Amino acid sequence: MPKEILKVTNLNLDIKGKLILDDINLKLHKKEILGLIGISGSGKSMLLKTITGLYKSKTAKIKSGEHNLIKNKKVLKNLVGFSTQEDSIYGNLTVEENIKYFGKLYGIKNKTIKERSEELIKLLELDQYKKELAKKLSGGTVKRLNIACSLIHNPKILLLDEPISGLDPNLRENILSLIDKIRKTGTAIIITSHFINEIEPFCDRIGVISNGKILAMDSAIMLREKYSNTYEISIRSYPGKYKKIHKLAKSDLNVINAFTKNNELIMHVPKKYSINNYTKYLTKLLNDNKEYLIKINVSQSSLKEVFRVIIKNVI
Amino acid sequence: MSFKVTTIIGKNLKEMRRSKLSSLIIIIGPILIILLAGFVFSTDSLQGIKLAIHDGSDTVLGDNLIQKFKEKSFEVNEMSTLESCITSVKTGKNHLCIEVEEVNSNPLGKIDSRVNNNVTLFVDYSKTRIAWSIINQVHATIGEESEETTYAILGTLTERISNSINEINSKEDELDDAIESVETIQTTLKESEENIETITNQLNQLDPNVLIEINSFDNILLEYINEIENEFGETDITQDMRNQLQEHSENIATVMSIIQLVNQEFNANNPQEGLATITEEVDNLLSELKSIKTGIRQINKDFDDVEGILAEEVLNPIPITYSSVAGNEAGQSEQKLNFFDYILPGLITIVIMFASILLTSTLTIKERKTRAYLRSILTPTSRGIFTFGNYVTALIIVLIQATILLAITKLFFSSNIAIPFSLTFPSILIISSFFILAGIIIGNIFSSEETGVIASVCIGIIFLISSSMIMSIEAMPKILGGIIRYTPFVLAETTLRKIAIFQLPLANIIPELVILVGYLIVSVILISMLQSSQKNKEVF
Repeated sequence: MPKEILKVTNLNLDIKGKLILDDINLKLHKKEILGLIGISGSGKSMLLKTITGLYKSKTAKIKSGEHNLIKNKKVLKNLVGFSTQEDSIYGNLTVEENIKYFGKLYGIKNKTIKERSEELIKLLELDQYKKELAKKLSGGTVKRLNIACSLIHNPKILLLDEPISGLDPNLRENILSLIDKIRKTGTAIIITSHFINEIEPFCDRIGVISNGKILAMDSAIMLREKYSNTYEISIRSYPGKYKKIHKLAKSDLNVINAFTKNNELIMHVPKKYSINNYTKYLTKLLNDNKEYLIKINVSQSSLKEVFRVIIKNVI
Repeated sequence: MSFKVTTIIGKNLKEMRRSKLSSLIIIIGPILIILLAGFVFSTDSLQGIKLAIHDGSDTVLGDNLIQKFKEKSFEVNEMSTLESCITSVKTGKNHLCIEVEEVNSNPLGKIDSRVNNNVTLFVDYSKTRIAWSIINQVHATIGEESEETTYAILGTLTERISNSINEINSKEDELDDAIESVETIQTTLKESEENIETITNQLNQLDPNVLIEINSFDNILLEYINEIENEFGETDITQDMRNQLQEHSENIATVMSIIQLVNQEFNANNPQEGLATITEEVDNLLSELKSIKTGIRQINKDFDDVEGILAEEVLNPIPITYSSVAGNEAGQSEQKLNFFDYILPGLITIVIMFASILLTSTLTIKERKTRAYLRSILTPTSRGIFTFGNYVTALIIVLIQATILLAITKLFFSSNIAIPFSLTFPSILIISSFFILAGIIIGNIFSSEETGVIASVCIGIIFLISSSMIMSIEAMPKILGGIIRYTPFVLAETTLRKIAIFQLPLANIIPELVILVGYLIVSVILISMLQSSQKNKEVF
């Protein structure tokens, strides 16, 4: 188990009498990516902002090793890098100037800033934009610049608030790959997002947050184990008469819900039989109905499904 | 710390430079203000003023005034009736109605007909500021005509005096002849008096006894003759002697009677006394004539003095010279300042005030509202450093603006104002600092750029109104005026005026600077209090 780098205990936050965060407890380990998923207003961003010290919790204990980060702001500021949901950069400065500016505010020496900014520009693939004004950059590039600015002081913890929101799928994939690269440099990351399925492959653990409370936190596999009682079956066949197949399978397999996505039939079924049995039954059904099978996959439910279950259980 | 401050300043300047509108307004703003003010204040005449004139009697004065107003680019409209003249002012067609009325009561009218007129101005006082300006302009023009009339009258009077002097001069010669004649008479009289005295003396010396003795001698001779005749008988010789003796006695008797008569005459009439009276009378006459001559000479001299007097001296018997106190300190060369120079300190203060307050309030609000601010405050850089960075940025820009402003003043408006750098620079530094801090306070109080700008403009206008730029402090209520004297704007303007116009040394501006530094300290305390309270209220 990697070394623990951040420990948050009993974090409560109320603003003007309203409880925003309720007894948050979490740990973050070195090189770990912790995903926080939740609907808008669930408290994900507030949690990150409270960890960074922007909001004060009267009850929380935030520690990194022996350092009490609530009392020792200087250690906190040097330890944590925060990339906000909004693009926290100056539009009239170039990519390079933005990175260097924040580096100087951290009190880093010019030589180090130069080396570090070059590293970050390379790492976040900003080479061709480094002389461009930030206001002229595309959404994905701005996100990357935002992350680069958060990393200029080489923090051990990087907090990313919705880093892939507002981006197209390719850019989301691209950003997540870069986040993974950052993790490999030794940085522990907490990432919040509502793109549950997309962040799942990159997260070591995932925390489900709702109404300011962490409802579950574990690896994706364990969450599925704990909270999922269905399989997800996806079929691609030719000519693809999915309505007919769904109709035939519905009663035999006790299909809970079914829909088509990306020219595939997706069905959720109870964990009544083994995966192998489900595969055999569906292969035969397709064959009998003259459907040429291209692909069949029976798997645990998606994290989104797990998330729904967790939220539903709480409600 | 200085490393971080220079970074913040650099960032601010880069952002401004890359925001074309910001750069433009920073450079163009002061240029526009100074050009506008320069053109506005470099003239004191009014443009497009319409005057209605009613001159029912078609007087010379009326014609002259119309001519003069036209020469001064006034639009002159002649009105047939006074009523239409006044109505045109009421309806706004004209700014002022002038009635030229003929009167015949002035005795000077015999000299110049223009004095036989009354001029009445009908003014729309509801146009408060312009009314007095128009009155002043019109009054000045009528004053010129009035002055010309006075010159004409005085010219006529001077000419008449001159003629009188010539007349008197010619009469003085005649008087001199008269005096000479009387003096001759006086001499003659004196000689006559002396002759009479000689005669009198001679008469007095004439002894009647001698005649008597001669007479008695004649008698003796007669006795001798008688004796001779008695002795020798009467002869022709004795007869002849007797005849001669008789004739002699008769002659003596005649002489004696004449002497007696003369004596009687002298005793009866006293010619010496009569002559003395005449002489006295002549002396008196001569004295009178000489006195008249002295009088004439005095009159002549007085007239000469009058002739030498200029009409201007009569018009303005106590000449007043308006001399500027600017640069008239001992050992200093006098500055020849124009009207624009005098308003320049106030103008610089206005530009510094508005530029500082507006720029800094906008800069502060913009920084607080930018998304990057959140990232900035997560760095180990205190808010004080950010504030100080913004302060220095604004200070640099304001100093650049002040330099541009002064350069334009020198280049385009031929300002003669001498600005000593050693005093001006620190003063502008302190003045700008206060207004910049005021901008930071506004920027920390208000949360949107729009409200910040409105608040900045309002504060600027309040400072402007409560100064002597619009209304004289002396004209304000005593307590209010006393307070306003110590407002930052008034202190700033006073400081710059003392330096630039009066060239006063540091000692004379220390009181103002000390108070301004006091304001600076209060502002810094206020800013730190505001930022401290905001820290607890900020919502990200």
